[in-house]
Amino acid sequence: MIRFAVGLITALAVNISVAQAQLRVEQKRTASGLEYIRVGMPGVQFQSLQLVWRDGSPVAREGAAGLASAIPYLMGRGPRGEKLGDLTETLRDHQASFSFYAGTETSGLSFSAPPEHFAAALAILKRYLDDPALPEDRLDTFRRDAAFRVRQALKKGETQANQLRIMMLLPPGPMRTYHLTDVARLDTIRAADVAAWKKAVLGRDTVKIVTAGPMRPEDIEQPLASLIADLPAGEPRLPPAPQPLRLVERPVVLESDVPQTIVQAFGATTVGADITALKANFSIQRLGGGAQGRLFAALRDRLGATYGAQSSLESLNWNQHVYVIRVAAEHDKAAAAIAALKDEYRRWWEDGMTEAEFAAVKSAWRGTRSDTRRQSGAVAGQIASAVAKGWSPDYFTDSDRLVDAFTREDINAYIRAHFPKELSLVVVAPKADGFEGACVIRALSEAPRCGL
Amino acid sequence: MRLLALLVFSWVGLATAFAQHVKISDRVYLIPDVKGSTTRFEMIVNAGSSDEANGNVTGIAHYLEHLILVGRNSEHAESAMRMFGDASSNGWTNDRATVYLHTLPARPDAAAADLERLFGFYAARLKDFSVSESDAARERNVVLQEHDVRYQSNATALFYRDFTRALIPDHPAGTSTIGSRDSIRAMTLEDARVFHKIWYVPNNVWFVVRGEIAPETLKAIADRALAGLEPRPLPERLKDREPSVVPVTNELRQKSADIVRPMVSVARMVRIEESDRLRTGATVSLLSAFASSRFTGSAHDQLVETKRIAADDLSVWIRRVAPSTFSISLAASVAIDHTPDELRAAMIGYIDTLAHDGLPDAERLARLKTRMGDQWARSGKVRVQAHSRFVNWLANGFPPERIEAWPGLIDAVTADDVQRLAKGLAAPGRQLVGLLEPKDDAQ
Repeated sequence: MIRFAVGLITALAVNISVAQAQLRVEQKRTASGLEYIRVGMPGVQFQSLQLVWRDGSPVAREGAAGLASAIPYLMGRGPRGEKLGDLTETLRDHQASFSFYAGTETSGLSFSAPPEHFAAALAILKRYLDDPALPEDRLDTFRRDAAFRVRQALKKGETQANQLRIMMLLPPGPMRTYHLTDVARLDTIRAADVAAWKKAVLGRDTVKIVTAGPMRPEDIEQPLASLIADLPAGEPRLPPAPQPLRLVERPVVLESDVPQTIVQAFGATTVGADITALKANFSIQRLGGGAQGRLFAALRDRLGATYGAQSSLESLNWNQHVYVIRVAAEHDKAAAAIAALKDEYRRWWEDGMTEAEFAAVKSAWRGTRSDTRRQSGAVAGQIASAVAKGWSPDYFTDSDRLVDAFTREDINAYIRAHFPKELSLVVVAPKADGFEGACVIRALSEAPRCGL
Repeated sequence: MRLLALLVFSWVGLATAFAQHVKISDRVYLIPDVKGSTTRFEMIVNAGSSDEANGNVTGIAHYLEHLILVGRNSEHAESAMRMFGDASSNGWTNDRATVYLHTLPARPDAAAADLERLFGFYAARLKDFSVSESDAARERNVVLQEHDVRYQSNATALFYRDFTRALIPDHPAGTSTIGSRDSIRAMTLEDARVFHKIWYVPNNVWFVVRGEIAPETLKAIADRALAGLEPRPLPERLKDREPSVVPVTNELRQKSADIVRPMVSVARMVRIEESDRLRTGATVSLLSAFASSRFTGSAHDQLVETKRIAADDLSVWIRRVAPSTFSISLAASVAIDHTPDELRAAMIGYIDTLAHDGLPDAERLARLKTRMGDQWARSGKVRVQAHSRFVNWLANGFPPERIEAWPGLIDAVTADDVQRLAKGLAAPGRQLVGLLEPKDDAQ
């Protein structure tokens, strides 16, 4: 008996850590034939759910970009005939939350609730899904509020730089409109457009479902099946093919009365839509990567020019990824900061990661993965994203295997093959002096003068 | 017998593994975590901007945080931000505390060595810190850039900085931690040394570690590192004084070319007697949760959904400013088709209605209490959350032994307690009405 108890305790303690390190991913089917992916995560506090549909409605045509914000807003306004405040507070009683989204490649919703509230909260979500009120008058208020928010955002140097960067990368078209911050983007959207989107996209036969958390399949399946039972069957959809990128290479300077000089250095990559894209994220960890990065050391620690330098790989869609470095620098040191930034990028592109950097990034990657796998929402979200792209649902196992097999030579070869040798530049500063060879404008409306 | 001993040991081990925090020594705590988890180290100094000399906040507490993290010392040639190549490191400062934090990847058998290094470094920093004049000057410029990112590029943040100062003009609670452009430029290394000498003492510091490490191993590391550090008496904390609350209504009007839509803020600061900071804190939490909820009778329900007079960026805060001193603040953009004057009147009316009605019924109070209790229990089971909750608790200046009492304090709050607080907030006090408007050419 004692031996059994000791064994049980030991097994329990070991099981907690093992469960977090290795996620068990299963393809399941409910009694009604609904297929879903379940990730068992014993011990976590929330059961998370992701519903994903292949879609690209906001980039399907010019004038549709506003769907990306109108859909989450209107679908979140609640079911017909019910008071939103009461529903919100009931969901809070259940410690549950959810949100809808619509992007360039998929639309969907994320949901999360503790196991004991899962079924009740999902029943509320079903009401949102089946019979949304979609109030036109609220959309009108939202549209007018959004116009203020956009105008407010466009006062900021960072937003102005974003606008110019997008114009330099993307030719006119729906994808460019989607990525630009535009006062008028909601003007063409009506509640009927959201209703049409719901009818066309949210199909029960076209949805991919991923759930992660501590609940048993038998406790999940009935409320899950009920959630989508009353959706239309749905037809398979594909988002439109992306337009080819262009690149205006001449730097652009916008003269604007900003307190700091805003610099964005960027370039289109050839990083693909398959799982080897992990190499790209791995490779940039010690160029940007916060305080451990070369840019931080050069621009903040040596020059004292900035509070920080951020760098990231941004996805315009699944197939088009742009590497972007962002810096807000003291005016007097901005030119030196740009020179240092270019120098660091050139060294990184030519020589790649050092042995020490490579080892540190690998150690950090391996040593933090169990933390990231304790959150059911993140686990469900990443697997749903992988599955939508057509990757295996064993995303975490696959990515571990891939990263474990990385060599420094692989990564450095990848950098040279997939990142641009030179970066393009956008600067927003009070005066263009010191930024040679640039096309200088004094308002975003003058951007066409720079070929944008 | 051997099996029995093993059983007892296993139960103790399991109990430790599931404990929310384990006291290692007077100033050191462990949040046990499972195998394979990262190791998190935090040093919490119970000194922030409100402890600056004479309540004159220049930003020196925050500047010192930067200097400690970037200084080169005998213990390490590289700045503390990069003490470990594979870790993430940072710091933060607010009005009450300065916190240094490091997250290290899981390293089987090496967590103890990592912690030995961190405890050694920070024990040395409690004695002294070293940074060259040129590094200190460069870092001052970095702080200036941080200020510009947070404030100079954000007209709303600048306005609320002035608004808070106008509401609380004679107390450090009315100041901003980072200081102003002028005060940052004037800061010196010597100012930082003086602040360090007063507040960076072992009896004003906590160490909290989360990770997979045996308590006895952590104790040995901490005891070794902290041996020989002598406690010193701490000066009076100015934030523990009561600010003056003269019943008056003032206005703060500003115009900015960086704003496109008028914003209104109304705040009232009042005196309400309190017997116990934590008990009052529980009542404040519940009333604040109601006011910022979507319940019928909440500010959002009244001003955004029903009257549609405020935009949906409305925010509501009820907070304890200082001993026996509380404030309620509402801020929002003016809804389309309404005027700032209408919103201002509606906000003042809301505060008075809240005072009159309090929580509309006992059922809602019960729901809020249940929710808070559930959230507390749930976050206690998530190691990362239990850790950050404990760190925040200590950084707020609460005694560690009272954290277990918090759910009981929430549960003990009565409708009368909430009503008394709400009525208190409507009593005559120092009221400030703020208006931030676009300059005419910014519309």
